[in-house]
Amino acid sequence: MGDRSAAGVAGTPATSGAHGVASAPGISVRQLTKTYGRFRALHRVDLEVAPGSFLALFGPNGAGKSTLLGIIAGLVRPSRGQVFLDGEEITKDRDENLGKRIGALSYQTYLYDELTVLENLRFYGRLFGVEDREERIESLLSTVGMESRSGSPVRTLSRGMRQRVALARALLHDPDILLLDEPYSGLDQDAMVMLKTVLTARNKTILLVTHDLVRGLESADRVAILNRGRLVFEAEARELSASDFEQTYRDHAV
Amino acid sequence: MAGLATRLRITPFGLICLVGLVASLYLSLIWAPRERVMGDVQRIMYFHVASAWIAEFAFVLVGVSSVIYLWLRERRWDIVAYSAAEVGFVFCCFVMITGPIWGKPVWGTWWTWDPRLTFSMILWLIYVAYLMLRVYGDDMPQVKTFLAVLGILGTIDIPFIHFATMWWRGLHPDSLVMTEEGLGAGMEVDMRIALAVSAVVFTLLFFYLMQRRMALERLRDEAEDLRERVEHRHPGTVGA
Amino acid sequence: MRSMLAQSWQIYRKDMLVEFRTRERVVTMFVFSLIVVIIFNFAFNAGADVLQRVAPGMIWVAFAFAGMLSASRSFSPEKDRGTFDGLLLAPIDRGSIFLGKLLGNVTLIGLVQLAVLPLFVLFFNMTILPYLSKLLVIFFLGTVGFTSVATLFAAVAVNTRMRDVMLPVLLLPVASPVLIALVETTRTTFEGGDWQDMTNWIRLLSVFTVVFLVASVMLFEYIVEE
Repeated sequence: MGDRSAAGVAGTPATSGAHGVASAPGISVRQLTKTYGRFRALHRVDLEVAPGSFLALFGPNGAGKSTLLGIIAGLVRPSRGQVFLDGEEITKDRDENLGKRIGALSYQTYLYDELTVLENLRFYGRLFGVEDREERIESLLSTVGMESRSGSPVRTLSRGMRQRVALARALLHDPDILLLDEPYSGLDQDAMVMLKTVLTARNKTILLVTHDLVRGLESADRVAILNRGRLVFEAEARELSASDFEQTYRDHAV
Repeated sequence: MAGLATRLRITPFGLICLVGLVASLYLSLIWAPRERVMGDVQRIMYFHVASAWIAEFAFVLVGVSSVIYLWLRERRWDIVAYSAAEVGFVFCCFVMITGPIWGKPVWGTWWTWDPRLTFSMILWLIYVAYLMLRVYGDDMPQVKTFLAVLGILGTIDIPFIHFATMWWRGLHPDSLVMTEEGLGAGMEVDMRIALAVSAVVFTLLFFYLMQRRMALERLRDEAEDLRERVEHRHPGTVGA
Repeated sequence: MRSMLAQSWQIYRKDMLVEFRTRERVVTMFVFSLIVVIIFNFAFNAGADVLQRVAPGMIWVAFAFAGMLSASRSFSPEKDRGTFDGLLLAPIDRGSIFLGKLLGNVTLIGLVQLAVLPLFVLFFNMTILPYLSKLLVIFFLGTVGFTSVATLFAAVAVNTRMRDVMLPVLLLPVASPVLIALVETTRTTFEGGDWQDMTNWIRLLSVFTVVFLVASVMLFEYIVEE
């Protein structure tokens, strides 16, 4: 997969050497359980995401997908079970540096409406301790095609534009893990292509959560289905045709 | 099912509490001498002061178990904290009821912002906040953590409330129990014995009630588990 | 520790920039405090001597509620728009989020106090200039202490269904020692009292502020984790 990483937009020349395929960590989830009071969001989930690979996770609303991402990102504390990054447990104590390795893109943009695009990115750049902040912001803004709007308040941007800025924000600190929660929502056609380019760059370990079976299947290496907090299906993406997978999904996730 | 029945039976500990209560009632209402100035109404003191002690002790217990809960994240410490808060609240309510009943004939008014009463009032409000958060936060994932935080802050707050209410009104002159010379210095020996017995019996009663409350909470968990299992075996039949 | 302060500074700067753009919190707090002063005048409908006696209590009722407003608004937009998760994802000590928010609340409440206090003095015909330095110390200590607890409980209340009701219910009983101390010291100061006349209260204010500040920084991390 190494040959493909050069094509990516995510790794700028300055950083792609340090964070190549070799350093993207594998994620392993073991017996992960999370209960919210009486509601069991996740039940003994075991999942492996190989280093530098792309896993797409599907499931109906309330299946526990976002909870799983939340636990890996360190936002949610699991009730039982562990998550390992390259064999190192991250669920025991919060490690501040975990945030440096994880880039999160979701339907929520994490952007402040009152601030301009540039102010938002500078704020997060400082918070994430990004070196060469200004150059990095500049190059990412041109990557997502937003350099002309860098002075506009986020509130004045369309949904699709905000999502592009959110993509730049997620990649700002050049994370080697990408957690994507419904990233396609609100994206226009151009931005969709852009996101696809990033996702096919493959110098990162990617975990995608979505409803969109077709888009998920065509980008991912592996697919999995979560239903009612349990992992009910897992397979290599290339072994499945879109229509087969739709049938499988209907069988497992109703 | 036999297991459940056994757990809800009257225990020897319950019997001890019952005997203790009768003894304490006898000591307080009949055996202890009549107070010269205040008369028989002063006898309410034996229950009022004993409850006030429990109300405060219970909240410290809430705080300690909250710390342990945040540390270990074990449900049982949350149960201890919650049970202590609920039972402690009952005793605190008792303080708030007996205070005015005692105060009316002695001070000539139902309520006065005397330091002890003010202290109990603030403690009562913290209990109310704790129980409200428990009830209205039932659907929040982090409610146990929030309650533990409130339990800890409330406990840290107790000395501050003590001093604030004390300096606010000055030491009150009517107190027989808390004087500048120390606990109980203004009382006759028999009165002190009756009060001590009452305090011990109330402490036992508190632990008995807590034990029952905790058993109830564990039963609830068990019922929830069973419901979950049934639901899982026949998805869609129970609830959704 | 240094990096924690630097991180709080980033959060503080961002919050102040947002506030500068909207002026939402400062304006609502100012108007709110002003209304409280006016309503209290109606409520007491009394002579100047009575008003001057109740003035310290009135001042702190107004500022306590204004403080709750600020604390609540420092979390609710972040929570509602999802930006709070953006902060939690950052590689920072989460206590620094609390410190940044606290610093912002103290700044805004301080600004409102500076604006409202002269109006109090005007309406109630009080003398303030000779006591200014003492009041400054008392106000600063008390505001930091009160706001620490307010900021922490605001972070709790923002998650509850009845967040606007829950904040006062949670906060005011716990903060009552500080409020009592503030009213007492403010009263003593206006009556011309010296530091010796309120040693106990100043001690209580300082210890409360330090203890609850430290406790809040430590507990915040638990609160924000789901």
